[in-house]
Amino acid sequence: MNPSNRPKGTFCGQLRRREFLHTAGAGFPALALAGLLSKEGFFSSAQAAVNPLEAKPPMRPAKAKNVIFLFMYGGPSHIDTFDYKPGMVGMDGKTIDVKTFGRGGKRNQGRIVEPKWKFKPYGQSGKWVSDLFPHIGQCVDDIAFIHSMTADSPIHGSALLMMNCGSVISGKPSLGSWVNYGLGTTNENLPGYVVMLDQSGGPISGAKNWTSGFMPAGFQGTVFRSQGEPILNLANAAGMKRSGQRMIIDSLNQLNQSHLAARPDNSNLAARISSYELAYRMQVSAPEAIDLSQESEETKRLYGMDRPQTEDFGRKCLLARRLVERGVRFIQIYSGGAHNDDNWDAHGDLVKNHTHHAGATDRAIAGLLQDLKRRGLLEETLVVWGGEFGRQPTAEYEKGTGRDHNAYGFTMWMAGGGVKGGVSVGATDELGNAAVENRCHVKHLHATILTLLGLDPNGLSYFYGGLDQKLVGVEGADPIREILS
Amino acid sequence: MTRPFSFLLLLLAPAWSAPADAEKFYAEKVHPILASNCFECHGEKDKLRGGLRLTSQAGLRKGGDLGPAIDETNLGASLLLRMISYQDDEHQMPPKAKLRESDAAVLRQWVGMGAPYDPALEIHGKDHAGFAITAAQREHWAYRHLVEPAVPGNRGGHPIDAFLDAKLKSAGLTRNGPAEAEPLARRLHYNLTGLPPTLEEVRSFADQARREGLGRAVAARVDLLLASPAYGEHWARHWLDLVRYAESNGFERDNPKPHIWRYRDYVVEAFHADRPYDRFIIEQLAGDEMPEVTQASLTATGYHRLMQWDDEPADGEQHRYDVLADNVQVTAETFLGTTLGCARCHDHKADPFSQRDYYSFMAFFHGVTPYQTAGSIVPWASGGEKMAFEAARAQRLSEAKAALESLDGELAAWLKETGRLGGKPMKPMHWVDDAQGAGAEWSYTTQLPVPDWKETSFRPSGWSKGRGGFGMPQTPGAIVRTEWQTPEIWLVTSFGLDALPEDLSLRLHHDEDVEVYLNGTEIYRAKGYLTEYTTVPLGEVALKALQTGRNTLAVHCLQRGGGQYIDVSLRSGIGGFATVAEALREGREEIRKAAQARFGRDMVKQRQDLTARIEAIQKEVPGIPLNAVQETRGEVRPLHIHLRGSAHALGTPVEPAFPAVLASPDANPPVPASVGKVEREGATSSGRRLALARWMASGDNPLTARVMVNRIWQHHFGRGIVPSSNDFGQLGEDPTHPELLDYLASRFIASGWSVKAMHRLILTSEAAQMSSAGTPQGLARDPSNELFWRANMRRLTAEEIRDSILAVTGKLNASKTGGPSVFPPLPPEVLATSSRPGANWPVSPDPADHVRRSLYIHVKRSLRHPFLADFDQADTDSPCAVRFATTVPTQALAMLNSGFTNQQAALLGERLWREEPDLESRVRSALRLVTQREPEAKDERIATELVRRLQSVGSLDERAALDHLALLALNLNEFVHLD
Repeated sequence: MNPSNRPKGTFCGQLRRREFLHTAGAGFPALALAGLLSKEGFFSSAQAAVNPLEAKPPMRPAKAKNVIFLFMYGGPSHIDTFDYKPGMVGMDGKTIDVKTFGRGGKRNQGRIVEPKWKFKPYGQSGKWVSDLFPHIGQCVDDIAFIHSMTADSPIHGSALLMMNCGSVISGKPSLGSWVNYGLGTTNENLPGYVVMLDQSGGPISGAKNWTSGFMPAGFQGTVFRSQGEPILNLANAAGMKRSGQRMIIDSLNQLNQSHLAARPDNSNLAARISSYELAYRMQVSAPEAIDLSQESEETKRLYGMDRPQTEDFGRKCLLARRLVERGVRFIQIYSGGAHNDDNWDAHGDLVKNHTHHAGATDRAIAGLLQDLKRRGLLEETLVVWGGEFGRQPTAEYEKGTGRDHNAYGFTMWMAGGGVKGGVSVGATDELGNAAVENRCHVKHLHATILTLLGLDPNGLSYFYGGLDQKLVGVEGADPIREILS
Repeated sequence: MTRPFSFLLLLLAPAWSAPADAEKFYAEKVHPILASNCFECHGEKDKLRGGLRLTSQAGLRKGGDLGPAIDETNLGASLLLRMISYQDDEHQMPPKAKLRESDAAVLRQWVGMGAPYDPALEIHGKDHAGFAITAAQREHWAYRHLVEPAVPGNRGGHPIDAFLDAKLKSAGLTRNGPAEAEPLARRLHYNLTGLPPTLEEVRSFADQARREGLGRAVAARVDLLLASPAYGEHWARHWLDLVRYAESNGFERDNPKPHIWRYRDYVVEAFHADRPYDRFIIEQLAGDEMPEVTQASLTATGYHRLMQWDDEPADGEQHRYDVLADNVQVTAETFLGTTLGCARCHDHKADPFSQRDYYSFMAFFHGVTPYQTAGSIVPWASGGEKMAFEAARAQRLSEAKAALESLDGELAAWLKETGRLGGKPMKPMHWVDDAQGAGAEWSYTTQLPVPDWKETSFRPSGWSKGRGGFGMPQTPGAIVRTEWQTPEIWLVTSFGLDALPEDLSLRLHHDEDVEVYLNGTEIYRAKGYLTEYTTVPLGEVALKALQTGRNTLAVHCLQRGGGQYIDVSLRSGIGGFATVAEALREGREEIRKAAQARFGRDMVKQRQDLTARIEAIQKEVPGIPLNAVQETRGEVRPLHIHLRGSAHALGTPVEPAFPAVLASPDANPPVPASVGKVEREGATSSGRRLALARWMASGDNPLTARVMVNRIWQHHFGRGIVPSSNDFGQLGEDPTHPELLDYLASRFIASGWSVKAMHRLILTSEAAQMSSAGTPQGLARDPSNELFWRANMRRLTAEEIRDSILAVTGKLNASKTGGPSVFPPLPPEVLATSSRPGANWPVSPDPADHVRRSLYIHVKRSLRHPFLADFDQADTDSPCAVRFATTVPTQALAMLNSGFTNQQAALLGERLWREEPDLESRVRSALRLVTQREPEAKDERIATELVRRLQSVGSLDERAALDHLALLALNLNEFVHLD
């Protein structure tokens, strides 16, 4: 099975896409829910519209079924977190020749800011992790670190688009959209792709980061709130009781059924009738998903929910586990939002910034990994950690510890979902300034994620604008095989 | 290669002198390195990245996109060696990591030997054939010269019906009969205006159809609708989808594109006025280069400014071409139904477009100035308007100047009288000098200092020392002697005084908020930044703070955005000025006070105001600002082929040229000859876009008319005759009715490219009036309606749904058309997704603007209107030729629970309560309003039963239950679907 919206066969298109493009009546692929309908015995006509969101078998054997992407927005400093550079200790303040590129432009010289935290070896793998992450440190034997990440841009706007959608230019579908396009969703009562934002605001470019681009809107990410009403328009309007709404839907169904009776071949009408039942159920299942009262105090503590500092991110991580249990395919959680020190963008006081953001996430992320593991979910859940880039080894300004952006080299890590634990691939130079060994581009990271999900990164394509568009670009990219178990 | 062959032989000689050794060296030393680092992408299997094969010597010599991998005339300069050296950011191989030095040394030695291979280890493969257009490609239906086909049969009916029936007949199918008058009226109103008809409009249509026949009624109604402003608005929306219209730039700041709404209004007006389509093309592509530039034609060039644009690109040169490529893609798809994007990186793999064709096409646009942060504003005024404006300006200017002259006369007399003018300077002293002079030596820090830092007693030990001014050189008016680029700076300096001066002034230039302390006393504080040095006279407070002996001047400056700069001088005795202007500009408090005393009014302020007014009048630009295109230079930077699409890997240069397969040699002169510079009011334009536009807008172009009539057809029939309406190439779909397509295209050109005439031609056919009902025969033989045996049902578009809801509740503000876009309130949850929640979404103050047609809602790239986005509004970054019509539960949630639908339901409930006397008529009215027909009795019963149950079980009163009834009505499938 090779998910593509264009016909199989030769590139030159001797096979026409007509059979795909024309669906009953609509003249274009209707994202109708007829597949779901027929499953429920509603509708079994041969003319059922294709439902692109219906669960599909993966193209290849899959290790992971779900992805939790912990997006450290703003760009955490790799040499202060997971990329251990003992050689830099004692070099603080030294001005050296080094080529850097950040928001301040390209420079050839800089003042070294040595790593501001001590490192310790953890686990059987003896992985060195900084004191910013004592709890994640406990999990290193489940983690594969990629120390040689590179990206095309060291500027937030375009770099976010790159990490989320594979291109510095917007308009391309995001990773989560590709995953839902390739695999569909297994729980129609919840969105297949959810995004949880930081309390301070969204990332730069907002919804562009979870857009479905040129794909239908059904593949886009749904913003999910961890408290209150999780999804937009989920709550009934003031003055509308659930019972009143039920009565409306019942009458609506009757009227729509009589409208449908005269147009029995139009599957879109039937799909729309069904979508109201799904919406009605979503009003129950989405609040149920975020209702943590069924979780034990011990579990909440594990995620750091008993501490004000980690309560918020811990809640989101716990929710992510609950969503995974309920079949949500792709979950992205933002650590950091808005601008400047509201996220990991440590231009001023590195210590203050990273202490804050690591402090808010370390316990929660470790709790997530441990909880997934003890429930047997980690094997099929891929957890991805990282930002849109890393930070420079040198100071951005004459004084202070702030570091500018760095897309020449940075660290990301993955755990679970078919990833080897306790391994590290690639390396940056002795300063952590640029990847020098086994360089991995963002598209290789994307290729790895798709591969683990059983999707062929070079085969998963969507025909648009005369091209078989792919997340990893038309030239293709291979996964980082060293971390595949 | 110009070197003599013998020389080449000589260089390669070492490799050939001992072939066996060379082969062994290759096999043992070189092959393992190449095999493990290079072959995977360069020839081991099918992959040939960059077109380079390294698995054979022939491949190495032939090279890839960047040229031969080995330089046989200068082996040491071979590209292969440059790649593995990692010296150049753009060209580094292997991509994963630099080779170990020992391996690199082996390769250097090997290349030095002339790169011998062991033939036994070579892998030869199929290399990509060169680009050539085949005869079959030339004969592709879309590229064939347009010839009007004969109408089949001789029945004398409508030609469209004749074409369709001919195919239906051979398939053994018959066309559906006409639709009922009611659904047909709805279809006509929505397809032409995007709005529902009123019940009365449906009735009058049905009456006329009964009286005069359906054909007459349709023709009359089509005329009426085509004349309405709503038609222009609705069809403009189709066009805006194609050109991915948006009103902000995207990326980090997602700033608005100023005045771009005028382009939207231009498109509305063009459809409304039935602007001939050929002219419509020329105006958008080259409205600034036309012989007669009009406000409309200049506004139309806003077409080139709609794209996403990054004001802070990581790679400026690449981004410039990403933007240009985006415009090329939109132009080719919109006007020519051709997807050229493929050929940006390599020759098109399916369609007959080479990479050279692509860049030659891009060259037409190369003279367009790149976009700028503030937009690319070109002011517009007609010749008469300009003359009138200049006359008025001259008048106002002379009045203001006369007033200044008289004021200066008064001032001069007085200044002279008091010895302030023309006399000698009164002992000017610079206690602390600024960078316009020698600059002062300051102690400074960028870290928050101790609280007493501004006191005389403070000694800035441990602070850095530097000469003023401090900042970044790009800051306007800055004279940087010491670089400062942090958000804050504290400065301290000291000076000695023997005697106290009588006056004191500051001269300073600063970034944002600044505070100045003299011996611990605050003497000056200001918010905001300056762009040049300014003098600030100081008063009593400062004079009192001065002391003989050591004085300390302390400054704190803050920077939030833009470039840093701070510099301060402290002076006295700057008197005896040469001119009134100078005396007042130096503006000592003493002069101001004395003048106030003498004249009884603030003469200094009065003079400042007058000067400012004169400057403002001089700066005024006649006319209205347009976000548009105007080339100014005439000369265009050369454009090269970008190898692999990279702006940093330049291939051969190109000139503007039409794609080879479309430019039949006899019909088109070679392009460069036809490109002539265009002069307009001192500005010179290359004329390139005009040449392109004229070629596109010509009847000889095989694609233009076919593509546009197909779009018009698509929006009436639910799909184009060519279903892939932006792709008429090999990867697109063939027309289901090629002769009909050619017939319509020919008629289109013959009508003078009239879009309205095409609507009339299509809509007066019986086919356009068919019912959408399924028939057993049709569903069995042609379930997807390839042959158009019935009308295609469709769901309303996002805008149609929102506008229709407003229309049936009676709230739609349809009478206001055009103008700047509006900002209806958005739910806080949606605003919270922005990195600056609420920024750039200033809710329109007038509630009447919140209920305007959806066309007028501001289109912000990073913040879509949630209701419209839910219902498949076109993406803002890519051309959208066919809207999706998805059905997902979030749409049902929006229809049932959103603030918008519930407010509108309440308004409808109120309307039913107010306008109708009893429940029976309220129910009937609700159903009538949304379906525009008389409801059936059983439907009335269902709706009435709902209201009763809400009252009995839900314990609502009838008024409240009507809101629920109204919500039910707005959610009906019939409301959002057309038969």
